[in-house]
Amino acid sequence: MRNKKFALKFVAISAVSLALLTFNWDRVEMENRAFVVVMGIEAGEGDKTSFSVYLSVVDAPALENGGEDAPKLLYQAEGASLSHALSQAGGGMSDRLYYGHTKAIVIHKDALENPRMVREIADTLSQKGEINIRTIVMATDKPVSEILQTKPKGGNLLGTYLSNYFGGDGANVASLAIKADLEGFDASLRRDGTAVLPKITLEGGGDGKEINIGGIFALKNFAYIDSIPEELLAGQIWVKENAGGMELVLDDHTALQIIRSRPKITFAMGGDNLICHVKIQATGNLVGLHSLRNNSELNADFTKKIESQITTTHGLFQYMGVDGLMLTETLHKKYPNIPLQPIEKITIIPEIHLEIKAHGS
Amino acid sequence: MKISTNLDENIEYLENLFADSGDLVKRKFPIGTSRRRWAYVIYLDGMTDRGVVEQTILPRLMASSPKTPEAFFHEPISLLETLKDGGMTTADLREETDMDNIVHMILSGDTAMLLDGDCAGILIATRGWPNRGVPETSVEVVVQGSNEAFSEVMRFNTALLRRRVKDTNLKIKQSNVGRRTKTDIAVCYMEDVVRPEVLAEVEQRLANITIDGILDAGALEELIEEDTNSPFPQCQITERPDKAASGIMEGRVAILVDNSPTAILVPATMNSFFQASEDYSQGWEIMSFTRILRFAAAFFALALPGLYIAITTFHPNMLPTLLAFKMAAAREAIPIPAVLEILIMEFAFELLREAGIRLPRPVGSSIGIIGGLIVGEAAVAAGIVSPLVVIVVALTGIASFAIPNYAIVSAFRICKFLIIALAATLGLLGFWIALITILIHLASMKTFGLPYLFPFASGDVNGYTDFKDSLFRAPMAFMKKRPIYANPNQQNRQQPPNNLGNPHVKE
Amino acid sequence: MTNNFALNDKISLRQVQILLILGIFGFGVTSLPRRVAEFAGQDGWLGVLLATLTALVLVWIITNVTKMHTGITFYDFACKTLTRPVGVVVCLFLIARLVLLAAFNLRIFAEITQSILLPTTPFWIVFAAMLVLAGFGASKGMEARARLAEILILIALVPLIIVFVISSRDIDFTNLLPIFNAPLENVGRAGYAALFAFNGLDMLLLISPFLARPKKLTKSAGGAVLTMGGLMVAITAVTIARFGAGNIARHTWPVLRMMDTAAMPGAIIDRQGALIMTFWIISAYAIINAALFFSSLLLKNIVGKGNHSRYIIICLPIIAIIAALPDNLTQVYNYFSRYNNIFGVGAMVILPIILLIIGKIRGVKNA
Repeated sequence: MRNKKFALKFVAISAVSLALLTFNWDRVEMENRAFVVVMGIEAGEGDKTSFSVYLSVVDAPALENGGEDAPKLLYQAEGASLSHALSQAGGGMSDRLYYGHTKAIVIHKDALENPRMVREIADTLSQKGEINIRTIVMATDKPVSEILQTKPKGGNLLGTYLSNYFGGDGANVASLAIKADLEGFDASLRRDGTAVLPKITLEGGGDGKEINIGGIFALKNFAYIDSIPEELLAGQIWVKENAGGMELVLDDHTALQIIRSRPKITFAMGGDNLICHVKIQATGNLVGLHSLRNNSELNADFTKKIESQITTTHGLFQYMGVDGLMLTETLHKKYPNIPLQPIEKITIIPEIHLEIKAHGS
Repeated sequence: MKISTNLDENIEYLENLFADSGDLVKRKFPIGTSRRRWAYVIYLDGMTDRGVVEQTILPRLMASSPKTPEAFFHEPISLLETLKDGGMTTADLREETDMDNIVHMILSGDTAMLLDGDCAGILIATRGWPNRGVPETSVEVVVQGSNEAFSEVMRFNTALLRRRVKDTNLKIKQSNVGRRTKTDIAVCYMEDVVRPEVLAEVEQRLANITIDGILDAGALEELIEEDTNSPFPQCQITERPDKAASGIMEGRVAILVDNSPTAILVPATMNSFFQASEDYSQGWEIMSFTRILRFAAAFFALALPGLYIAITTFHPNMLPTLLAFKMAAAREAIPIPAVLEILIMEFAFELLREAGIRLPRPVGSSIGIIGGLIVGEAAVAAGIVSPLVVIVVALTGIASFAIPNYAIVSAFRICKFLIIALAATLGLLGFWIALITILIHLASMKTFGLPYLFPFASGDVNGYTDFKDSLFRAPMAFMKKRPIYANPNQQNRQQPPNNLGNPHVKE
Repeated sequence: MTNNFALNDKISLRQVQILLILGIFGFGVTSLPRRVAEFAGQDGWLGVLLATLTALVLVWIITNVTKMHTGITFYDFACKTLTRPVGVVVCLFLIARLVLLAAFNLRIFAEITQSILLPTTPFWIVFAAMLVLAGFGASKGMEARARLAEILILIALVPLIIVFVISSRDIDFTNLLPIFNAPLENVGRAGYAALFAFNGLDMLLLISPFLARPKKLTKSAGGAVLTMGGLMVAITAVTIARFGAGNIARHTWPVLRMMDTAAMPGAIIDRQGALIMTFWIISAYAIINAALFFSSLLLKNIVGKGNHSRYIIICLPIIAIIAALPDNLTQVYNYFSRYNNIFGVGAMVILPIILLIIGKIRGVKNA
């Protein structure tokens, strides 16, 4: 009797487990996934209100044949909506497109000029669970397909190159840009319709094309308004974060390398104007040739340089009406009664305490 | 049945019982020269030390012997008493009135002597049979420490224990199980350290055995386990006397089975299977590291293939990007799904393991080379399996060898397949469901009244002191308490010297 | 056979604590930051603090009721204090509460699983897998549950805390500024919402027959609640800081989202969402298992015969059906807040207070 019961149990369990083993809703073998590494978004070629997506895909056969150096596949599709375009791109493939390892999203200026499209991009992508909300978002004015096919300096895979670019060593030294990830992009658009995206461009032509990152595209009212070249962006690093690693060069070629800096922002009312005091503690080393000038003179010159960088950048952002230095946000956190709206005019007063430690060789 | 006073009746009875037993040696002979009193001696050849019988017992009784005491011939002094008191030059003899016991003892290798006119026989301990002495350890090998192992002769085994624990509190209770085999077993424990309820439980379970024969400790183990449907061992089987002795010192009960070169230690918690005797003969830092390694090995042996399947086929976003690409590339040319790949390799590995055991030792290593290196390499080269799967399966196999107990490894091996099946169906959810199922089973298990997962569960009962000898091994100086196996009144393992007193008096 | 340490079906106070934390904490915390931020913005964590203090008071009341009936079942106690028909009704109320609680948790768990682990696997598979697991665990009895909880809490909390610490490294805590800005009324409402993160405290009422040493129950249950409260406040604060009070509403399960996307140092694991699911799988198991166990036990007491595993099998399909009823997640949370207002308040606040008062008046003592 007991044996019969046991046999019955055994058969039932094996049947259930066999049945279970044949279920595979979510089981996709590794080689059947096409890993989307970088996603490019453009406005459609004919119809400027439709989406055109480019997917730089690492597929298993390509890797099998040549490892990382293998040519990456580029899929292109158009669609009236972003999700439509994305599903079009995956159509007709034997493998399943997989966004779990998407590293960067490059958006073309055309698409950024249309507020509806900007909103749709931010919404669709940040709600797509497969995509990491920390994925980097960039903007460009060059054809996206060309960027996606360019091999970056020192690396082979554009996606990992871009995602390491901001997190890696010396990112803000080589060029000046503001990092933007999907989450931040979405959040700042929702807050006041502005956003700042780092700019990615191509330099050179033909086979010698190189990726270059620097400068920003600014968005206001959900649409592109202007770009800022990287030379004028130094100020945002001083105000927002540690400028360690940055190099300042005076007109007489004396160079100062910043070791670290720390900003402190306070607000005050001066008449009708809101005044923002940015107090910066910075230390740096003189590099290169020994300078003949005395210390305090140098200090004053460099301080002036930093001050001008900050005011330049701030001025640009003020002109565009974009909260690129996050001043409004900081203000709101300190004084929650002030609503989170772009403030017409903020005067910035930098106050630099620079300490020069070493005086060159 | 009682022994009759009539010698011939007894002889007839015995010879009936032992009819067609070629190994039986028996002789009826008169005592002394007078031929008035007769004796009958009977033993089994090969089970008995013939030298003792022929040279120290018979010469004193046989007629021609001048040594035969005069008193033997005078009535009415009891021949039996006389024989016991001075007739034989051996200490190990006893009087027995029950014929069944006599038969049993003859079968065990003793010599029986029946006397004319007495309703009792004499049993002389003459057991002695061919054996391989005290062998070396072959399964639980250690780098440093004793290499003695239990042998098939129970008497040797008890001696091995006694030599290690010279305390009168070490009790060795003998009995036998098996209706037909009458296998001798000995229950060994420290009388004052053992938990009385555990001892009572052991004795009760042994008494409940009704099987006809026990040929090995493993068979006995299954009969006294709480949950026989569990793949997890609830008794610890060891071939090392020092392990058994240290178990006994902790308050556990060791059961020795005649003809079996192993001892059963109970209770056995999950934790005890991860302890090796070497752990205490080397530094605590090294051994703590080793312990952690063993637990990690257990996790790998159990879960690695399942985890591999869950992550690669369901959640590749957990992998670092470049690794994911490499894995995808490695799998490109493989025609079968990852689950089957793993199952095939696991099957091949289990096959190798089984084949390795059966083969003679010198050939055994070559199967490892053929199987592991050549077949693995060829399978990868032929594009049937991906190299990563070979790594995963090999790692699983190696991990299973790092755990000091064979029985628990076998349990992990079985459970591994449950995890693989569920992980292949539901990914990480399935993986955890399988793992929790196994944990529920383990948590509900008890070994002789102790929670099987002690001290990881219920560890607060003795203030978590057992943790000192679990995931890591604390320095000896910190392990002042005995583990949970010990009687609560006997918690202290270390005592200051002025309290030592007489070691043979109960603490 | 009896041991002086592991009496059959008796559990230690430490085990009670662990069962409480494992059963209550996990599901309480998933959506907690969103719910409190809805009312009190960046001061939401104050609401959690308030809820913790309230929960402590509730624990005092509940454990005192429990201590009134050490050694006898809750059913017997309820019948004795409130007369038999009322006692049966009270027990049925508790069964309904537990079954519904299990159903809600099952549904939310399935939704989380779908969003993170298995996007296309149908619900019924997840339901079946989890219910069978929880039923299997519940059928093994109280002692096995307690011992299992001791193991599971290590497996669940260690990765959670590691990821939590890592994810709080790169967080802008100025998002919590300004402190004490929300009106008191809103903090109060946030506190009320947060109180249901402690859903399941009333299971302490049913635990009395299993206690080895009931006297110190209040202290240890209070300790468990404090631990949970501390963790909840920390997690709420960090989560609000991570997303900002305004953005948090965009994430259904902000805690999950935060831990999923924390940047791991060394890049051993690219995204740890699946890893963190360990914690939610175990939490879901723990609470469904507890609800199943206690509801089957109450059913058994009311019917008065049979093994409690039989009643588990009765409860399983009911839970699955209820869990499948809501159309979408919004509806689930709507129903859930209505459920909380009736069953949550009823079981955690009103019932214990009534029992405490009547018990004291009628002087019901231990059997």
